[in-house]
Amino acid sequence: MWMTVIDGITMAALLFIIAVGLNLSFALLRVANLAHGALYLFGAYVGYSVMSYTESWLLAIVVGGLATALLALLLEFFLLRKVRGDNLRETLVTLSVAIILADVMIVIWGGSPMSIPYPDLLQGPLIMGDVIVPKLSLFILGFAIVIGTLLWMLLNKTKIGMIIRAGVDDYEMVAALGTNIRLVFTSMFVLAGFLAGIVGVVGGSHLIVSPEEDWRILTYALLIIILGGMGSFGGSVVAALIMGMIYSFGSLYVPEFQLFLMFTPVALVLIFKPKGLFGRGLE
Amino acid sequence: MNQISKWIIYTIVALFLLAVPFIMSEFFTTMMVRVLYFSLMAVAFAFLASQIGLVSLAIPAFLGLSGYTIAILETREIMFFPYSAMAAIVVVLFVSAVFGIFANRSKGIYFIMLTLILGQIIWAVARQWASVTNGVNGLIGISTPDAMQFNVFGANVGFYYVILFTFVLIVWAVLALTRSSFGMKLKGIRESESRMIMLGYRVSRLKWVAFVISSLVAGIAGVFFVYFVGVMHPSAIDLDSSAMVLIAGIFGGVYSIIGAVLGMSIVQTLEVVLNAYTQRYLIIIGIMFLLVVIYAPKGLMGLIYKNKYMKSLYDKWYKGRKDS
Amino acid sequence: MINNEQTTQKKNRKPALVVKNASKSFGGVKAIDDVSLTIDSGRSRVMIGPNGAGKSTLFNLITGEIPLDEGRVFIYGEDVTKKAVQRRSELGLSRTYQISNLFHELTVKENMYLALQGKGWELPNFFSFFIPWFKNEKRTSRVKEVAESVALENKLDTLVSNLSHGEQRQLELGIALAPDPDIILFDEPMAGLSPSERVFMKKLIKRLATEKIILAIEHDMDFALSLTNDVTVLHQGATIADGTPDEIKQNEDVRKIYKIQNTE
Repeated sequence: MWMTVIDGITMAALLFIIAVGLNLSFALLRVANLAHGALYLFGAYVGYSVMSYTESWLLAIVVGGLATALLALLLEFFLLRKVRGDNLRETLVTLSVAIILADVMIVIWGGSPMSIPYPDLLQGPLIMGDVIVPKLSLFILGFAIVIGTLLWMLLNKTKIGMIIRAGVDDYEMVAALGTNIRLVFTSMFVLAGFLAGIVGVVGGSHLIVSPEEDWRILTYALLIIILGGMGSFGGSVVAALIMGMIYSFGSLYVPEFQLFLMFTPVALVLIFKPKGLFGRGLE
Repeated sequence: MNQISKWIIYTIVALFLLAVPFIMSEFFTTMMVRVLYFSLMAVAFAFLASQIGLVSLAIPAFLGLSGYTIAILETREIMFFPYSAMAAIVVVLFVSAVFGIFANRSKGIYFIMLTLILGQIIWAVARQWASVTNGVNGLIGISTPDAMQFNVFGANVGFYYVILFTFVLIVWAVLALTRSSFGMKLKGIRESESRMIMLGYRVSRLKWVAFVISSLVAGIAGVFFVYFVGVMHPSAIDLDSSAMVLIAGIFGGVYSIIGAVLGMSIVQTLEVVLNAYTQRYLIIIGIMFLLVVIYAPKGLMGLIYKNKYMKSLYDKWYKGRKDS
Repeated sequence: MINNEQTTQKKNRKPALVVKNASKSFGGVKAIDDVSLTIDSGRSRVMIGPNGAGKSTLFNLITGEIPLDEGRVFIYGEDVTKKAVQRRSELGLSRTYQISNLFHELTVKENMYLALQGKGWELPNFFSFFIPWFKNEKRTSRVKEVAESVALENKLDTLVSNLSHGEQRQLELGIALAPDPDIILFDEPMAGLSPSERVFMKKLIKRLATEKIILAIEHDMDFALSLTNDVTVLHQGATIADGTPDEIKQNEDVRKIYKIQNTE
């Protein structure tokens, strides 16, 4: 029971970092980046390679994140800008990139499932009275809290954050402000890619790394966005917790219908509160 | 072009299609069948995309639903054709009726996201509910019903004729729908949902009906799919399949149903040709898709309708003879 | 349909449109603050007020496109506060939009056709699914009538996106008129029109005002005040004056607002 709760929280922590970046860039650019799952997987594979050459997990996280951020930058700069303004086409571009990237990754890293080794320091459980917590889970939770706090501060305490929040609230107004905003948008997109990359490495240590993980992760992230509401930081936290819990309890008791169960809260939200738990709109 | 030469062309096309199993190689006939059932999915996709402007990634899910229903019923010897096929259609209608309620609550990119999720749910159940669907191993050994196996002039052309006939009928019906009053209302929703509501239309009911119709077409594709291939495997309904349907739709041009059929023929041909050289043909198809989205968003039909004769055919179908 | 005898009688007795203590806030800012409004059958009303006064928002509240925070809306005595937009449309409410809200990739004829048959939901007859829309003589013949009334009879086969701005405004009006509504809300029908186009539009609206119940938002004061004797002035989401054109012209508050507006 405790183990399942801890698993759920760990999954929630991972999903939160993946979803919050996607959610903010979606709210800002109005582009659902369907390559987000592929970016996650790319980060994981890069991390795996770095790990096997250098055996430094921290380096793997950093390089995985940076490489993915670079990929996101290329995607934004060379492809998305060509179809700027047509949200549907932008989304289709990200989908085609996801398809291409998925196959490229199979070519480079092969199709067999793998897992990223992580330092001995984080191996094994930590025993606190009756509660046994894997050290890696604790690390992931702390990692998510640190990243969440940093993001929150970026959003609420800085000028860029102000622009981002304004952009989420009133896209047209901010879009009309000029070219500088473009830069903020691109940065947000790249930041989301960076977050996907680092979570790829961390998540790749906790879960498995294999083809098809990209779509699975993307599906979870989209579920969280719809449940929590577009552009909502708090909504992403709550939705990630709900999804993490359903994921771990579902995997334990009804593995056949785990994804089906995860859809239940989303279905309820769509019926009773189409804007998501904390969302502003479903346009 | 006058009436007579038009009819001559139509007759030649029809005769050629009927003669395919006799004059072409077996490989080509097999390929035709494959293109036909995949094209039904493309038609289902293009119906939603062209009429209401909704891009669905859940089309193969309905192929999977009907395919799996038949596969499960027949491998467990619970029901056989035609009852199994009827049961499959009932399942498709029921699930699409439920999914349609949710899908209706979204539009644009949200609709893509939601249908992606819905498709993934069906896929995940197919993969994980191993006690019923046999998981990643899939269900094998579904045989083609006798009704689809008849011979003509000693050649076993039954399946090809049945699917060709069904295909023509469905494409005609869908095309007729798109120019009916109902189709006009759907186009109204595509252009301005708020105005349609203000004019008093029950927009969500119209969208729901369209969603169910599209799912039905995909479900019928599933019946042919499972009887032709004889195997039902989760990979038939994964996201790559959704993407393939979407790519075909975009290739042909999002606003055209005929275009979607053309697009699917191209994608399938490419897949077979490229498959001979590499397993990773999706990279090439993906890149082509990317180029089409960026540089030719109207797809093939955009080019074809530049031809005056084709354009006038189109206008006549959708708008009636020019009057006034 | 709604035009049976009983409802006609009902319509004559009850005020056509009543808005009672309507309020609406967006993110803490009050866009509409306790506005009440009554339009009796057979009368029209003009709403004026500076930009951002909340006139368009009030329209959206009346049609139901935006839900009310507080207050109620009645159409011919029926409380439609919680009812869908479609129900209000069935009761005979129609509107035009300030920014033309048309079916852009369809022709004028198709736009009119859609406008003509919105009311109610006919259970789809299976065979009607397969009859081309243009074969429906009963409906397509009305299309021409409506097109003539907004002077678009020569543009029937033109795509809306190829129409000029003025023609689009005419079509905007045509779509609002096509369902033969009883109450029409005009949201700045003359926005962006050239002087010659305005003449046509003014004549049309004046004629409509004698047949239908009109609630219009209009910036052209002289035209607005010549249209009807009932004028409401909205400012910062609240009604600040309500009366005949003369009363409005004398009203201190109104003069103050418009002076400030003019000097800007």
